[in-house]
Amino acid sequence: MLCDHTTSQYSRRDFLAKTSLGLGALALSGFGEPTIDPIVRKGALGKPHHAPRAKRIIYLFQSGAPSQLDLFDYKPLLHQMHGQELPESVRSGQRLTGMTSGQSSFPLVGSPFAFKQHGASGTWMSELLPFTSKIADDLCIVKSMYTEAINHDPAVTFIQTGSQFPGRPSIGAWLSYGLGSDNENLPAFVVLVTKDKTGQPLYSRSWGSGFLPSEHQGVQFRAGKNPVLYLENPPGVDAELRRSQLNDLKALQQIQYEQVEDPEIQARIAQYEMAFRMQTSVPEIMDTSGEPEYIYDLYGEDSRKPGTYAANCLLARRLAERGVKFIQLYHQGWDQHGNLPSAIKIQCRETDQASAALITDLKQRGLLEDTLVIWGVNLEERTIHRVN
Amino acid sequence: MSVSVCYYASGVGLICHLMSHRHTMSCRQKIDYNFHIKPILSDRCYSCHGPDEIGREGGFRLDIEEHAKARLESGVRAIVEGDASQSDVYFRILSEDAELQMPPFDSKLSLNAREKALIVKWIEQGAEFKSHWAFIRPVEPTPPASSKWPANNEIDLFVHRKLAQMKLHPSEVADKEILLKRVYMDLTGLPPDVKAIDAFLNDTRVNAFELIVDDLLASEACAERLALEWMDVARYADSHGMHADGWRNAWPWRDWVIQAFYKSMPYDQFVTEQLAGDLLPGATKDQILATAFHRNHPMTAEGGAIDEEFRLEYVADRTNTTATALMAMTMECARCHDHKFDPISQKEYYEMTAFFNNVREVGMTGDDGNYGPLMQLTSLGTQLKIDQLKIEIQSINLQIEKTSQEIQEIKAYLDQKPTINLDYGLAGYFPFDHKATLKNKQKLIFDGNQKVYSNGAPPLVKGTIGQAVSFNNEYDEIYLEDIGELDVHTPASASLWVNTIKRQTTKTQVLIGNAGDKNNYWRGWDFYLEDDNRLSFRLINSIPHNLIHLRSQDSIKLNSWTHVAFSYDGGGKASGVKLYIDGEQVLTDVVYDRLYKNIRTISSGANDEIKRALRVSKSYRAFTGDNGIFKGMIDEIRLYHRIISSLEVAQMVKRQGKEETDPKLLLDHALNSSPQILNLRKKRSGLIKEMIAALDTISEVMVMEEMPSPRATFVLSRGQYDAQEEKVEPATPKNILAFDPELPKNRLGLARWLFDPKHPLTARATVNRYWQLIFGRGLVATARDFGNQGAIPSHPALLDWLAINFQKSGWNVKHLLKIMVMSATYQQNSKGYNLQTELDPENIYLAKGVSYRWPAELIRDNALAASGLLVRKIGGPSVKPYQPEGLWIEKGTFSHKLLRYIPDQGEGLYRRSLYTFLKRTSPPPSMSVFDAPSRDVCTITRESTNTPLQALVLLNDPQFVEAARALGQRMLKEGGAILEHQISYGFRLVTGRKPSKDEMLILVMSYEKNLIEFGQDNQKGLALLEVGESEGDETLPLADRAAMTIVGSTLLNLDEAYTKR
Repeated sequence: MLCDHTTSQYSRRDFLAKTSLGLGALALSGFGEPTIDPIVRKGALGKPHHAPRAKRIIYLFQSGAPSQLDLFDYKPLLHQMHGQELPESVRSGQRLTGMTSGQSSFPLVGSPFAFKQHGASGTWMSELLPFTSKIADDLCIVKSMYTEAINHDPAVTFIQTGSQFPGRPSIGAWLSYGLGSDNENLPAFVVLVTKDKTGQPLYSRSWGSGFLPSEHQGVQFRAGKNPVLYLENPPGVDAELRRSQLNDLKALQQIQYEQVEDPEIQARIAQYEMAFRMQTSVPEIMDTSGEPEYIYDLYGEDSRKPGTYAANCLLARRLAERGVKFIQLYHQGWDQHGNLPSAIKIQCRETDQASAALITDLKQRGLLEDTLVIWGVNLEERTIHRVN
Repeated sequence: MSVSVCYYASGVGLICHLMSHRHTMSCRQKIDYNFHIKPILSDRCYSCHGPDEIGREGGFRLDIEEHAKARLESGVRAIVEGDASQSDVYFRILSEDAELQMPPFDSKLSLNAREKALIVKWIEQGAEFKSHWAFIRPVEPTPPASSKWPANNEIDLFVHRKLAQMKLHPSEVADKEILLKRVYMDLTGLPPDVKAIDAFLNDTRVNAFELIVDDLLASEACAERLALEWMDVARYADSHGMHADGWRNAWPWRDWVIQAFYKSMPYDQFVTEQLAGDLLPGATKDQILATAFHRNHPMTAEGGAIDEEFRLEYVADRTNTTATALMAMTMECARCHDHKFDPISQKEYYEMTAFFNNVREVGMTGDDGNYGPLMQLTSLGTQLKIDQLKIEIQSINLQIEKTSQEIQEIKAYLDQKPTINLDYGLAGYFPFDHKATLKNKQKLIFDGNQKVYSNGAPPLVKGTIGQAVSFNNEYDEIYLEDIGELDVHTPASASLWVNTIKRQTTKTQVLIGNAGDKNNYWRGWDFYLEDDNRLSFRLINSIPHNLIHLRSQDSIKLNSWTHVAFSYDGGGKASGVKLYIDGEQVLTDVVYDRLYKNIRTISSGANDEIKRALRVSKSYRAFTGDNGIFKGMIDEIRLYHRIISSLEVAQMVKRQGKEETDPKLLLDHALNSSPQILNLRKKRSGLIKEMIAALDTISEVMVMEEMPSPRATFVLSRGQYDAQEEKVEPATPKNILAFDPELPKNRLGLARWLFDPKHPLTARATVNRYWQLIFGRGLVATARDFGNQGAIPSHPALLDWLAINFQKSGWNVKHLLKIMVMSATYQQNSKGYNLQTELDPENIYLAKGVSYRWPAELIRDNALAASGLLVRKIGGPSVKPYQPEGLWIEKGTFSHKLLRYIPDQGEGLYRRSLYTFLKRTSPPPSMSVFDAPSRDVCTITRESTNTPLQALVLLNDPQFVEAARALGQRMLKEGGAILEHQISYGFRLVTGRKPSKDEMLILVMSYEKNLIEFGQDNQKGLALLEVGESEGDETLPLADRAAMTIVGSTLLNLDEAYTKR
């Protein structure tokens, strides 16, 4: 758990602390105000020994347990054995969640959905994914992933932080910490949650920074008037007034800086400037009204409604274009217990077209070259009928 | 930049260390094992050649001298004292042969040239090993006799000695205003008001500062400040943290902490009571409340969770927290394997867990609420009432006993023929002789009674009398409506015939009951078979702490008709329960006997009282993996709202014809039918009802409590809950300090061990934590880890001196804080960027005062105090200040009590931030942004970041906008008639100092500019002044107030509003 993050990540700190008297001296000697931006910062990691291809990640997190058996994982034998008792050779002593271990029998259930092979790769996919199946050749489906958890909370926590129990930084936070940021107006790690979904809970630790500094935690962008918490000026304060207030503040901070000569003050001034820029840049990103019709057609009708998964997919592309390193979508509701056949259809309707559109869109813009898109889950579905 | 390595030997043989960015060595230097060598070995070698036996490669270990220097099987010696050329290590670390090279290529670890040179030189110099500094008991070092600079106390002597060695020098004392603000914030977390600042500025007494320090340390605000720091350590929160993240009642413990600091409780007592207050002789309620410390960990309520897995997770959390919080040890690393770096074996880890493994608790709780062990927070009035009722009940019990005795002695019952009426007091009789399917409904009803039904299809088969129901499938359970709601204070009985085909050790078979699920505390009652079909009966208010549970010692037979029955006398005790098998009362084990609240069934979530039909052949539990499904036949259910006597039960089995003559049965029957006794029981029933009603009102808090017979603890392979290996006893890691056999092997013994004067870690870890509180960074920078991978102390002698001094002072935290803030080192100014800053950019050697951003809570409290909005009320339930809408519900909808965040109205908006409600999965965003932890785990050191989101909070969060408005108004009203005075007043309230001329000029111009702005557009001003709940003074001109609000906001965004200077 030891992480020495005082050593290396700030270009600012290095610059200030390691040049003779640093920028402080520059400022003091009247060469004007230093223009350093603490946000475009190097990560804690140095350059790897190979040129990395991926520059950013878009992680489409399907919270719950999308049934792989009904989506990607074609199981003809299971279909044949539908209704038979789970053979001990399959379960082989594997533990059961308390949700099912009370059951007296474990009948096998085959998928009620039709599967077909798609693309040159011949990837099997079910009829639930008409759009994703069209981009089959752009996908790499990993069927060997699993967690040891049998519950959602530990599984999500494990997938996002590497430990089943709370307390560790999330994957996006590590990325921000290790690789830094490429954009001076936006956070390195942005989270988009589909609005008004219910199901298994979300936990802010899933995009938290754990024991890393909080600057690495994911920043949630939301649909609506205040896309980032506290982004909007208070009522009665317009941009002009705010600008003038910030100018006064900057002047005061400059006086303070001259008094105490603490480089942190300069960094703070820069953060206020970035905050001010975010007040414009974030709403700009969130406002997709300038997107052409064909884009809406591509992502589907839902993409016109802010806060939907489809709208978030479109935002993910916009964020990727602007150099956000880690963009994570959360879509709840993949926890079908009693009503899988109908509920999974709704989930797929909400996500299939937009997920595929995102890939297509990134590809047509040349962004897929260096963007890793992950469609991932926290639990795998079992092959048995669950009564609860 | 290059600075040469210096060293000196301190009283404990430590070598000072130098944090420069580069080290060079000169030939004359002595290489020190602890300082130079071990950090390299630990980091690069120990993972294969360290304490972990299983991970060890080639059977070779470098962490122990004898092993490192022994002749190896291959014949070579890794280290030969004084002779590198004979040492295999020398060849291995210099080799470029992939086969030989150490660390091996595939480990991705390597040594740089300097590190290699250090190791070689150390071997050449004799390869002297030393114990890890933190495991050597501190011996009081003698402070340097003098300093060439003015020194206030020993701290300065130690710090100055180091400064001199580093060719640095201390700074001037800070300005009085800066110093006052600094010490106020450090010791109380609140700023001085203008009166206090003026008083100090005008106080010319030599001890003026000391007087203030004494006042501050004695204040309630200081207790709150120290409590806040401890709440991080103790991972305090108001919610459960995992999955549903529901509500828990934990704040009484937080108030205990505040009171403990307020009363200056010695630290050893402070910790002992929290670890083991319940085990102290004659433990007081306060001492038991203190133990809530180790119930603060997160808990899960997720359906399907395996109870034991999570229960052991809580045990591990207590162990890890104890080690981190009190000893700065990363014991958690030894949970799955021996510690890779520190001498703590996996076995020792589990020995440590044994101290915390003896709590009767559940792993999977309900979504909301507190789960046992609990302590009742009874008001004095209620307590008196309960005590009185207890006396009355006791007296009736004695009368019942006396009357029973008389009846037994007179023996009149032997001469009378007992009257037996099995229909008397019968609440319901279910013979299961007929069934019919209800038209239009998929419902099977029995015996023509619509309130007796099943949604499944259990067939009728030949029974004991007529037909019986046969339960074969999961959904065959039968519901009995409008019957069977039991109360603690009323007697009840039931009997039935049962014939089961199933027997399992770990699963239960429910015969009949209405006990609920986790989200209603499992409330109700059940009569069932468990543990190889032993007969069980429970009356449940809440599991695991508030119920009666009895179990027969014998099992019932498989595949044969057995008659089973219970009777309960309405007395609220297990002694009032009798279990019968085949007509005979059987011996029982009392599993648990503490029922003190009502057992009426309630709904999940909302917990309203609701009627729940009795279920036959299945539980209502769900979620747990044991649904209590019964397989076999059930017949002739009889429910009574009275006690049925042994004679009656015997009659039920033997049925007609035979007359019972057993005197014991006759006596029991006589006692049950005695009008005197019935009368006394009726009186008792009324009293118990009254007492339960009183007890129902009492709120509770989760505490620690030992089970009467200890639970066995095992080493768990790879930390997995069900992979038990060797059984272990409670003990402590021997390399830290062996556990004294004289000590009790429980949490109290553990606490005593921690405060053994020989303990090398406790005092050091604690003084370091408080040093961090005052100086922003520990003398050991890794305040959570004093192990091999942790930092080496910057001032080892000072650390030890403080540790010894702390112990000598009687573990007096305030004494410790006082010597810190009274030191000249603390009082230096923090200004200036100069050559010294370059030599020591992180100010480790303290050549000037320290500077860093305040913790989240202090920033908000400073704003509230400056604006005059702060409500100074100590303690009480956590409060909900402003928060953007919808943050809780977007995370999840499982918790009923924490579904939506509804901000308080009035004072809850303006309390100090340590009282802000903390929901772990959705902590207050304006605090998280400033690095406030979500308290999932023990946090010793907070991060201190600087982000644009922080600027947005300070500028736009309604809490800060309202504070700016109130501050502006306060300036206008209290600051005097002149604008400059008003601005100066506000400036001082926020920063603690007067503004300079330049600063004043900017603020005056800002005000005037904004005055014009708001004067031109009334609407803008109106809108701005409406932010926040507090009333504004509308007698003041609107534009003035609005313009001054902007000035207030600018002030609250100044560096000194959030930074220690």
